[in-house]
Amino acid sequence: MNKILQIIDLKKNFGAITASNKINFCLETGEIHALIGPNGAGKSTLIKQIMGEMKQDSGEIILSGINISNLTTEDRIHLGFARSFQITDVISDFTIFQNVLLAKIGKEKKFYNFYSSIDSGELTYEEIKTILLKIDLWDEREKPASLLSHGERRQLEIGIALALNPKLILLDEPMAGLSLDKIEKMKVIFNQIKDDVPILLIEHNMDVVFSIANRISVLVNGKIIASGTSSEIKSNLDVKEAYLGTA
Amino acid sequence: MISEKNISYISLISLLLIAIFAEYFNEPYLITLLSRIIIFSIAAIGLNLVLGFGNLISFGHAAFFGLGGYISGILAIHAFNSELLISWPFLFSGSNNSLIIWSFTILFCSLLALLLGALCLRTSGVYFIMITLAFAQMLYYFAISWPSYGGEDGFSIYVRSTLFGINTMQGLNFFLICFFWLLIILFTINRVVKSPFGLALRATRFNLTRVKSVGINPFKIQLIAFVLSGAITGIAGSLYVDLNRFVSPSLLSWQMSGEFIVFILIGGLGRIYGPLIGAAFFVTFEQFFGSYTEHWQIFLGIIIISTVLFAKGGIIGFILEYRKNE
Repeated sequence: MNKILQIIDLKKNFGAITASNKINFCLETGEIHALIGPNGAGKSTLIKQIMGEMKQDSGEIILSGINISNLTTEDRIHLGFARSFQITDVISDFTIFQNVLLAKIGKEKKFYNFYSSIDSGELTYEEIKTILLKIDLWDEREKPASLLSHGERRQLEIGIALALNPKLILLDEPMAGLSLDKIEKMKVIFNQIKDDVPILLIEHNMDVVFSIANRISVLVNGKIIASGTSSEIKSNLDVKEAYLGTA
Repeated sequence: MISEKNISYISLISLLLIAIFAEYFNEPYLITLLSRIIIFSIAAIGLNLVLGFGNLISFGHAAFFGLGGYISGILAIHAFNSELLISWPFLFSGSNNSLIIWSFTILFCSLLALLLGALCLRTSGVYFIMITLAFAQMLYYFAISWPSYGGEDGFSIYVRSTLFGINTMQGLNFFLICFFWLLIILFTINRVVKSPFGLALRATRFNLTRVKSVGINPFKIQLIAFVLSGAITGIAGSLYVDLNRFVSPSLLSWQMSGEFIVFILIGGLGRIYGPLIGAAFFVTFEQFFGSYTEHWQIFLGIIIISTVLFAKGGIIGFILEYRKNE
């Protein structure tokens, strides 16, 4: 297993409150790593530091060997971060295909190509087909994004993230507001893409976390109190006490 | 089944057929009208690239139309009078060769568009509209107060520029040159809009954040589109001066910019052939109602208001919608 994202001794204080207390944690190839924790545990603060929206007080963030601790969000995105469901806007006048194509054009710097036709199947047609098949939207590729359901829109956002060829995908509560059958569908999609791109998952729905995460880290009061597989976490007493409530 | 493609073929073929009939029945005025339609539509096609596809409402495209016109006029009048235009670093006394005139027009209009674009594209929305208007007005007042080239009265250029020895004073020949330009420009715009660049440009009109988040710099995309747009409108200005053999500051006036926008709105915003349909409608309308009353613009106003209220896709959009419902 190869470490894609590594967080070493990350610390962040807001006055007397310690939001991140020496956090150590890593994301490896081919895994879905879920980060859970009760409200106020410091999940958002951690995510913001990972994305570069907030500067840590001390500690390091390493992206496949490169120290990115002091880089801006744009630079991190450039190096292979993809985050979904925060910028929830897709371009609603474009079709599904065009939305993914736009991301691909941006990633491959093809936007100064004035001549090739985007309808003709030249360009990156096959790659986009692969992505759309993965997110299960190939049959609806000509549908304008404005007509998509809430769930389809989320699928499309994952497709856009995939088109950017990221090193990792950060999914911030992807299941929020989805119906049960949509959640099942999304689980299948996540399991399909994790082999190409590891996923860092922040999710409140425990059933989802326990069924798809390969590893789970539990954040309580700014500290990771446990890290392991679903069964390990389920049987961990500290976690039960702090998070799931004492039984 | 009427598709957008068919509308475009029909309009191009009918333009050509009417011109040939007009020649046959010896109606030179009609051919001039047709040339005017084509030239205006070229100008508006240029504007439509940024307005229709990039949602950049430039209210100053008369600047490019006028610059193209003045460049052509100045080159031609110097050649006609054998007066020196530049004496350093080489002697140059203008030219009446179309190819040279067009090259100068494209070069200078692109440069002007690059300069104006770099400044204006830092703003957006209403500010963009006002700042493009302001720059065009600056050029307008400069032309008015430039006595060497006629000031407020403008100047005449007597003969049209020549191309490969074709007699351009003959109406149909000149019409065909304009028509050829129209085909080249339509072909170019068609390719550009459907290219990856075009997709990026169309994306900038909806969501700049999204465009940036996939690694595209929207400013550069818009600037390139603005330069291309300025060059195309400049070519129209050059042809317009040749058609009328007259240069005047009214080429640069804000009414001219406004008319280009009207062509686009009437024909169909963001449609490749919209400006052509719009310009054809406008010129025909002006001729027809203009012969009854000098207040023909009242009726035009009603039509513009109804287009904006009831047929947002312009004439093309209206036809396509009507067909769909049938």
